[in-house]
Amino acid sequence: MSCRKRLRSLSLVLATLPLWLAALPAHAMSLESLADHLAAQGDVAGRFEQTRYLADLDTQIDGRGRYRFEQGNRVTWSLESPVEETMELSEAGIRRNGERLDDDPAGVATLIMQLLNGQLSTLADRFEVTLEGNQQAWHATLVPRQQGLAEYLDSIDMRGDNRLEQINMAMADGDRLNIHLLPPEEDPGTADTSSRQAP
Amino acid sequence: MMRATRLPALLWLMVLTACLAFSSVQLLRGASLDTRITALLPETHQSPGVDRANDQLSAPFTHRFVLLLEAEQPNEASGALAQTLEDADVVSELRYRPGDYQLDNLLEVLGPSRYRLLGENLRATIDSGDTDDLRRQALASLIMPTGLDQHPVRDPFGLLDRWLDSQLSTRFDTRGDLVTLEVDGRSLVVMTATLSGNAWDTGLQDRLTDAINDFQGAHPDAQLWRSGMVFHAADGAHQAKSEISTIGLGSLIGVLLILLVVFRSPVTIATLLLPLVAGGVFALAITLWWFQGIHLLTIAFGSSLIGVAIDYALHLQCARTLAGREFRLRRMLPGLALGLVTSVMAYVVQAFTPMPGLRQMAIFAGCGLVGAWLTVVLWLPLTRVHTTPGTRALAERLWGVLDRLRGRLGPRLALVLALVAISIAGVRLQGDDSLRLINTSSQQLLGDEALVQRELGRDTGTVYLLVMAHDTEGFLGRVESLNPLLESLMQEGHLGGYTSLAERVPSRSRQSTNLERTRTLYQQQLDQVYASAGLPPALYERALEALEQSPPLTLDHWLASPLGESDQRLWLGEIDRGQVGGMITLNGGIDDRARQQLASLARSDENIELVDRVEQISAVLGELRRQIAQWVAGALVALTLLLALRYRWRTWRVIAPAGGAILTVLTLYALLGVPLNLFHQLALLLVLGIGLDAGIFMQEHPRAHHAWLAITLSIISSLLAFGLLAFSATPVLHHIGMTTLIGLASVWLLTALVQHRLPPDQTTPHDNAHDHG
Repeated sequence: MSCRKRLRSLSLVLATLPLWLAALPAHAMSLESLADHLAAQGDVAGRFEQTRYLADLDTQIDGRGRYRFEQGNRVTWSLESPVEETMELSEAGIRRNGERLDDDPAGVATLIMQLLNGQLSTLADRFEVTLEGNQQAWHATLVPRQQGLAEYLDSIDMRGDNRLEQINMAMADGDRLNIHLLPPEEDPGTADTSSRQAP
Repeated sequence: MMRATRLPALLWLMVLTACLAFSSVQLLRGASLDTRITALLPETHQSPGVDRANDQLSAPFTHRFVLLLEAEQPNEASGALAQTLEDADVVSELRYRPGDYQLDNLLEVLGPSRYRLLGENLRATIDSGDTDDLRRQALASLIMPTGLDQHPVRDPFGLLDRWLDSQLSTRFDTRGDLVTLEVDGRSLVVMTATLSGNAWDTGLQDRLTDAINDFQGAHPDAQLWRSGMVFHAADGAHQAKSEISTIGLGSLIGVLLILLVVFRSPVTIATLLLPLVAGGVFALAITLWWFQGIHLLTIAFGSSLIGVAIDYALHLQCARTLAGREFRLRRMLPGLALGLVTSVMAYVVQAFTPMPGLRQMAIFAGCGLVGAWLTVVLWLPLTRVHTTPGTRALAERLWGVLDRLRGRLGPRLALVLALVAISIAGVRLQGDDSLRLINTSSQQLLGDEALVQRELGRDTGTVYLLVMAHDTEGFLGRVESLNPLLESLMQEGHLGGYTSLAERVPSRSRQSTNLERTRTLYQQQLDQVYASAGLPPALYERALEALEQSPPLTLDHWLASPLGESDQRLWLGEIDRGQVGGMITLNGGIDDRARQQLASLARSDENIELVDRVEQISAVLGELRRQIAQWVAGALVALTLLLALRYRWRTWRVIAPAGGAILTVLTLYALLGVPLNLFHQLALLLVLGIGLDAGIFMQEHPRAHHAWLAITLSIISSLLAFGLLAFSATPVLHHIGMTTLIGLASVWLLTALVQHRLPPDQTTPHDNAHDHG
């Protein structure tokens, strides 16, 4: 109920944005077919890189790790640097470093699972979604509908081709959080080039 | 003679007309018809702090209600329910969607003070010196924030988020459009509402009940659980209303039928009912004038008591029907007068109790009896009666029954039986003063209430510690010092839980030591956090600066914020000059061990008071029960002495029906293991009144068939009225009914058994010179 929870839900949802795409509401053009197209990729695993830009300090914090998405079942988001932390989402709830998070939780996990199962109404109610481009180069913008969430979050941008590549989150206070999902087969060593284009 | 009696009769008519006019005006102007059970209870005389605390703690339960809803399509169903409630104009605010809850300005209220707010676990971790985990968690949330305002300078360790975690262990779920709660694997929508009016307003209760019924009619698959005073009040009022109409109507029809069989004359029956109407008008007017209103239970209990009033009319009319022209009122007057005095005495002792409800009932019943009696004596002799052979035949048949029973219980056997009964009742009879007695809520509603309170941690504020101090700081410190005891009671399972302001706003000294701990944590780990995150070390100084400028969180600030609003009920503020107070509510089951420890704590510290309103009320009920028993026993002794002046050695025959019936009831309850409660005793007063009437009339007119006919009719009509009460679902009325049922049957039997054995030729069908023979 509190904005804190909305924010927490948001960051967890964010961590699993790759899953969302398979279920984005078919508001605009070929979103539905795009969702089908992305879902057809099946289980996906790879590396990610992320950058948190802090506007008031004009500085940034970088991180990287691995993601794994088992279609319809489980999401694992493992941060490796600057510190090791694993978040795991499944039907059973959320686990952080193997320990169950009792707090808000089951709600978000269920939300994710609903999204995966194509129950789109929930997401459409929370965000205004616009989609541009085509299946080979698309760009989705999500703007929160709820006033409470909008006070903290301006928008979420997502782009990709036949997979999700980039998620940019713009906070109301000017902070940004950018996540780059590297292709599953790509060598982790090339990560540096992509992180530089982030903020 | 007619001339002499007409003037008082005319005066009485004027009094009654005035009463009727007064009552009509009062009722039309909306004199309050009270349905609150608690209005029957005495105002406890206690410190103003306790009174205010009681009001404040129960306010949310009174002004708000909670509905839990389970439906196959929760979105649609809860929308429909909300619409129905809003259309019925019963709620001023309704919350069931996440957006309905005011956006809490957490960051603004708690943000600046967050370095001073540490939960018990975090304090222990910092004290242990092993803070590496805190560093790792800080790093993880700096790169991927999972909470509010996790910023490298403002809050690198997520203190605000940790504080909120330790505060809000809520199970609410806002996954979708609705606020839901998981109960036994089912997802229930949580709807909270603020009433648009008073919970005791019967109009509002009806609209709410109708709205919920409409919704359930339209959504048969949906299930609702209700919590809130308004539902209990509606339940009580509804039941009382419907029982008053069934019991009143049943009693009236039964009495009419019997009278029709006996007198076979509608005019005579009308003259029998006239005193009841007159008594009712008189009693209502006096009660409205005295109390500025009337309680529904007073009408229920009181209108049944006026059934005793029919006694006088029955005695008079039976005598006139059987005697015809030979009837003389003069001969009846001593019996009638004694009957009135004894009955009124039996009821009026209740007026000496400090229970406003009982006082009201006593006044109502007393006035009803006097009014009915005056009507009988002043008006009835002016009417004509028809002598019918049927009535005479019936009176003779009844007399035959009496003849077979009389003389079978002599003084010696009666004394032995009385002693046996007294010893059985004295040894085995238990008392029951629990609050269940005055509960009028249905089992269904009580079940709903229990579930909602358990799942939502909602309490009605009935058990709490009242804590006083010279100032707010002293209060918070004192409340904090109680935490270890309360925690250990909770961990050992003696206490379900507690809510305390110190958990929301730590005392200043605790906030200071917390700030020291935060500084220690920064000194130990912040450099490394910055280094690992690749942040400039220069930020360290800025982070420390935020610590130095952190203001303490004050109680006033917290209570004034949207999130602290629900804690306002725990704070009294200034209760006396130089003294503030607040409460710690205890909930979820408090066993004897916890009660004992808290009570001894309260005894040893004059600034702490343990208040248990349920126990308080039980104690009052018990005290009243003992008081009434003493008053009635005293009254009985006084009456016996009074009656002995007139009846000498025959006095035992006057007392035996009433006394014997009371002992029969007590012995039966003792043997059956039914604990005696206040309402049993009230019913015994009724048995006493009717029993004394019977004893007196049989001694006044020992050979008169009309006396025995009148006694029998009176007991049968009262049995009809109270036999129905025994089937009441309202515990109070049930106890009264059961007791009267047994008691009145005993009165009739005993009246017959203790009469003197007479030679058959000395009996007459009506009053004449043989009276007192």
